[in-house]
Amino acid sequence: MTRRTLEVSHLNTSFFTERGEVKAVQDVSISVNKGQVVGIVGESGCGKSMIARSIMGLVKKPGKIVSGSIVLQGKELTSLGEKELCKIRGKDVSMVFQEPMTSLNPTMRVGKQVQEVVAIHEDVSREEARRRTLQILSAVGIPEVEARYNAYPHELSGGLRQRVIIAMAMVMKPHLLIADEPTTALDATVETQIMALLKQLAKDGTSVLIISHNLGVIAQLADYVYVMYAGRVVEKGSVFELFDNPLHPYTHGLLGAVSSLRSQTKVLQTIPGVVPNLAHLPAGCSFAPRCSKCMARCGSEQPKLVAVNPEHEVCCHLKEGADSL
Amino acid sequence: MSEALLEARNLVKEFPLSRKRCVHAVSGVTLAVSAGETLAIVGESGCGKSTLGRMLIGALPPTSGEVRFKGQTITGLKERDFSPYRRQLQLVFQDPYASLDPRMKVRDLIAEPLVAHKVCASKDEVTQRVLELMKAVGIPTDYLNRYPHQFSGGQRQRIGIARAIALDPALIVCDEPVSALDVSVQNQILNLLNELQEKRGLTYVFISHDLSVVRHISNRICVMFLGKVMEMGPTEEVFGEARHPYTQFLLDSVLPPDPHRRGEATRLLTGEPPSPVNPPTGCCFRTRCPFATELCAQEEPILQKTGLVEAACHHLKK
Repeated sequence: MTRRTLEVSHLNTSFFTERGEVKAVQDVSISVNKGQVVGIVGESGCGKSMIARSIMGLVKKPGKIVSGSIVLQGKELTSLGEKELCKIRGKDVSMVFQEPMTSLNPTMRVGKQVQEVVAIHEDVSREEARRRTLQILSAVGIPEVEARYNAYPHELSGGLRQRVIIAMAMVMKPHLLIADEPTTALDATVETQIMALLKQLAKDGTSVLIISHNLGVIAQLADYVYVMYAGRVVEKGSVFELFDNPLHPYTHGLLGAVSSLRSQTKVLQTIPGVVPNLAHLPAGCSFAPRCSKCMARCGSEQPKLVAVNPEHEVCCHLKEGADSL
Repeated sequence: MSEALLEARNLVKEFPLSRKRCVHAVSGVTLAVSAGETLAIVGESGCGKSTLGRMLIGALPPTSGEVRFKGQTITGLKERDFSPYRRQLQLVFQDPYASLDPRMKVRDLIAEPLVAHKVCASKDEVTQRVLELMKAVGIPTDYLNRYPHQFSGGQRQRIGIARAIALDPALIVCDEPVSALDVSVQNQILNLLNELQEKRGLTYVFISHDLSVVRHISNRICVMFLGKVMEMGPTEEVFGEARHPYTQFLLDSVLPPDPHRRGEATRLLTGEPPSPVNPPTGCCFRTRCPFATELCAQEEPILQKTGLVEAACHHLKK
């Protein structure tokens, strides 16, 4: 039953700019099983969206996948050309972007935009494509589909637009759905609606890779979580392990920041300092300059991911030390 | 209520779309802010909270209604007469990337309000004040000659705050000051706002859609929907027991960062927010409200006070 949908191993994605190489993704390995919801959490600039773009083959120049492999349903994606990628995108793997306002074509009726996906990937009659479009539009919870089919994006609210985009992503029943901050631009009450829809999709067997900065979204949706910082996975584990027993000082800080907001404390817990510039990463552990538990070793040596138990791995010298003792 | 620092009476703002149609951004809001408190205005996008915030500090003229600051009407004043009030009423913007002129150095950005209002006698005094302000908001003073693009989002927001407090205002409207920031930085800014309030006796009107932030920072909360106040009262009271169904839905939609509390937010609000161009008759929330009856369509509920909390609903739990 635990078939791998996606296996990313040792992925490195860099941008080659005038100022030198910017390592957006460094040595990241991620796997997603069938029907599993995997979350990637991290702050802006931590490389989480670049992982999604690497999987989709959407890394644009001057960016490039430097090394590593991405295997979707047994097929290696990094060696594929643009034409072959086009056949896979939208059919085997599809993506929902953050901005429901800008990821639809404003001059095209929304029904047509969904139908287009079907027409590209399968040789079916127009009636059949339309029938499937209407079916998926109502499946994602759009009321009065016949009328909405002919609507233009500007006639729909943000929540409905995001549903149309999810419909577009789901119409070919892909193995993997990547959702990059799918609810960030939406209002709270609409956010919960979209979350419920994603949950339903996973229940129906789609694997979901959800990317978010919002720990609430991740806690509610994901089965397994990767925490990213400055291009690297610093901690990974099952959602309960990770939230109950965070081991990396960064994860600790993030959770502390969110939970102190909910407590009665006057002064909120923060992580001092700022996210490092990816072009000038500090030597050793990238989090060391902000870390309260920083040791001499952290400034020179990059820690490795170590398993603390079968469901939990962390990338921190503190835990390496504890392990060897 | 006599000690109100700022009062709004029946504020209305309509933005015309064509000769006959208009967007009813704010429809008759009455509220009062007392000195030293933090009043949070919450609601979803398009509910008129930012428009209201701008009207409160006189940055946007209302269609009707008035704003009073320390008992004096500030609505409809000529520019020259309004100038002294502008020093008292300041604004911190949401987007620290768009609200600072990219071609100005930090020293000039922070000096701008001081120079515009001619509060310093000499250039040296301006520089002195700028340095003090940078210290107050936690920007290293050797960054004096840097440009905004050399700072992170959190530091930029600190510069925005320094500009807002430069003239020693009485009240600052903070319009989503942390929603563009990362979680770890967001708390730094909230701590700074708290600290400045204590040290300088500031009064805040804090506009936000994030209820956990609001709960932490505010004393009182005002929940808006489609340009109207749905519920208003002390923060802990409202969070403890929401009177209005909309407030309850808003509170339910906060996602707890705890996987053990999954599925708590099971009560989903159905439907989409109604359009402010064509607001529903009667209660503006009725099209999404599970408790709506015939009465709600016919008659607009008015704010009723029960205990310390006011709420506008025909079906309030008595």
